Amino acid sequence: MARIVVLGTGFAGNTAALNLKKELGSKHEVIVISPRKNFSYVPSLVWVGVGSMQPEKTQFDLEPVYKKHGIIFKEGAAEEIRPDSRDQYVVVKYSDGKTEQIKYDYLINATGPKLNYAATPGLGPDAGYSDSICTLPHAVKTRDNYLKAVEKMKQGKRQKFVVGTGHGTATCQGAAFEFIHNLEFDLNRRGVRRNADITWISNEPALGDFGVGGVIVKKNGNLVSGKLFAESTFLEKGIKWVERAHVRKVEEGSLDYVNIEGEEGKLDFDFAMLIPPFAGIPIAYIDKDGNDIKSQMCVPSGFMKVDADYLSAAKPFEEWKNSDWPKKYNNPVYKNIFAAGIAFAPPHSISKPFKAPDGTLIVPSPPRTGMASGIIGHTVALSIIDMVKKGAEEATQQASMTEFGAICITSMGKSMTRGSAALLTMDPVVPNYEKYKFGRNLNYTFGDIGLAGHWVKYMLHYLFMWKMKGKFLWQFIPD
Amino acid sequence: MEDKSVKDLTEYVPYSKEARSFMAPTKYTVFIRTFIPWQLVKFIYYNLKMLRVLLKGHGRFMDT
Ligand SMILES: Cc1cc2nc3c(=O)[nH]c(=O)nc-3n(C[C@H](O)[C@H](O)[C@H](O)COP(=O)(O)OP(=O)(O)OC[C@H]3O[C@@H](n4cnc5c(N)ncnc54)[C@H](O)[C@@H]3O)c2cc1C
Repeated sequence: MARIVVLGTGFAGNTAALNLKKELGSKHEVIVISPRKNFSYVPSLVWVGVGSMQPEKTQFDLEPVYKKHGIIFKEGAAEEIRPDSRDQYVVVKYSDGKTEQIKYDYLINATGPKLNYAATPGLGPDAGYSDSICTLPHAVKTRDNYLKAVEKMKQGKRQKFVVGTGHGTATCQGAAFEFIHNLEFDLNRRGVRRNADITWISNEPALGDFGVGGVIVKKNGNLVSGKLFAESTFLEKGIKWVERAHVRKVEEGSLDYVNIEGEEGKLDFDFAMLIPPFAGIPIAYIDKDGNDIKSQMCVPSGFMKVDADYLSAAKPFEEWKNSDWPKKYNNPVYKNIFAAGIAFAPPHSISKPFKAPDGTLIVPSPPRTGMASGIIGHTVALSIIDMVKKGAEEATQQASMTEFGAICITSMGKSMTRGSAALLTMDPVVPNYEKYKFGRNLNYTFGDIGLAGHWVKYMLHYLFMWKMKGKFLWQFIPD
Repeated sequence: MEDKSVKDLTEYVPYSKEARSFMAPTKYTVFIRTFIPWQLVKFIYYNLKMLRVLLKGHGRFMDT
């Protein structure tokens, strides 16, 4: 009997666990470890943040799901991984302070990001002055602060809103873009838009970059840059913007930034929602002699090393290759350990990095979206299934972000009759300039804005909640 | 505090840095984006577009 331990219950971990159990059945053991027993449908937190979706609708309890599927669930946090002792094990800490050693034959690290608010002084809802929508408690706090600002506007007071990224290397620009549009839409709905000044700030080299190096789409007989579409949405809604910017510090009611050109600026705000940079979840890696081997297992930001070419990061952007990107997501030293979703360390950014004159790095980190996380979680599961069932010595399945495409639906207002969303399909996620002149296959890369996009977004919410619950025919819903 | 790195295209300023790559939806485009009969057609079209990307596969393949 083989035992597979999965750390994390997000898109990557849950997809991996359900697929592993489906294929391996009762002969083998699948154990899932996570500090939270709820699955959180993170993409809909943009709606929670402006009060247009009830928080409960984005969550469900995983315990009954795992019970039904015969998966063992342990509600605790992995603190330590011992990859090369005779019995490889994970040290798990439970909420009552007790710890347990859980042995594994195969391990999937799908622990997602640590929200690194500390990277920018004053950033974040816990010890700082800005809000965030990356977790449910933070999205609920954001909603409460947003509604307070709305109340002030109802009394005739002007309010300044700033939305975007809170650090030069943050990711998830798409989520911030969704939030600013939903905020603008909701202010209109509540009849207070005229009292609001809304400003976007981000580290993207240009609007519409979204950390994937921007996108070119076919439109009305032309090839058009996504930058124009992103800008046109701000123009239409009267949103100002600051691009190519690193937020240096956030204070009560204001933030300071510097941009790639070295221009310094300050934005005043009554409400700010700023996405933090991500780091790896702090887990210790200890060898059989008790030595700390974290630097061998992880890149400095704490994400786990997989089969990527990490030396390529030192090369100039023009020399980056598709082969830099991982395909199998196994650790190069311990081939029975995998990282999936946000937890794996990308070799470098996708967008071109720039530096401010003072040397500050300003570049979006590569997004590993829900769809990419699901695909990678599934791929890793299939490799492990081959290793368990067919005795393969190492990972057999490949899925590179330079090969697979993604569907991104960017909500711009939640209403079944007046809402809208930008629907973007891109193929592949990481532009492949070796293969395609514009980096992507233009027959599969598509963009449009409209109400139908919102219907799709809404449909996907329920479709993926269904899949993540492992309900009837879940396996036929694509990752 | 306003400064020159804050871009604001709500007022069109000819020859400005912002006006160099200008695009904005017309009233018709804004209307059609929420015109339900047309959006129903688009909904079907979007699903076919997405299906095409999904049918192309995830780039996932066996390493032989
Ligand atoms: C506001 C917002 C909107 C987004 N919108 C979209 C969208 O529209 N479409 C899209 O494709 N993507 C979207 N994304 C991105 C998407 O949410 C992420 O790509 C996805 O959640 C990543 O999945 P994951 O499984 O890698 O990590 P996560 O979902 O972060 O899951 C990590 C898991 O690990 C667990 N964990 C943490 N620490 C430990 C530990 N020590 N031990 C064990 N378990 C641990 C956590 O509890 C959690 O269960 C959005 C992101 C945000 C923030």
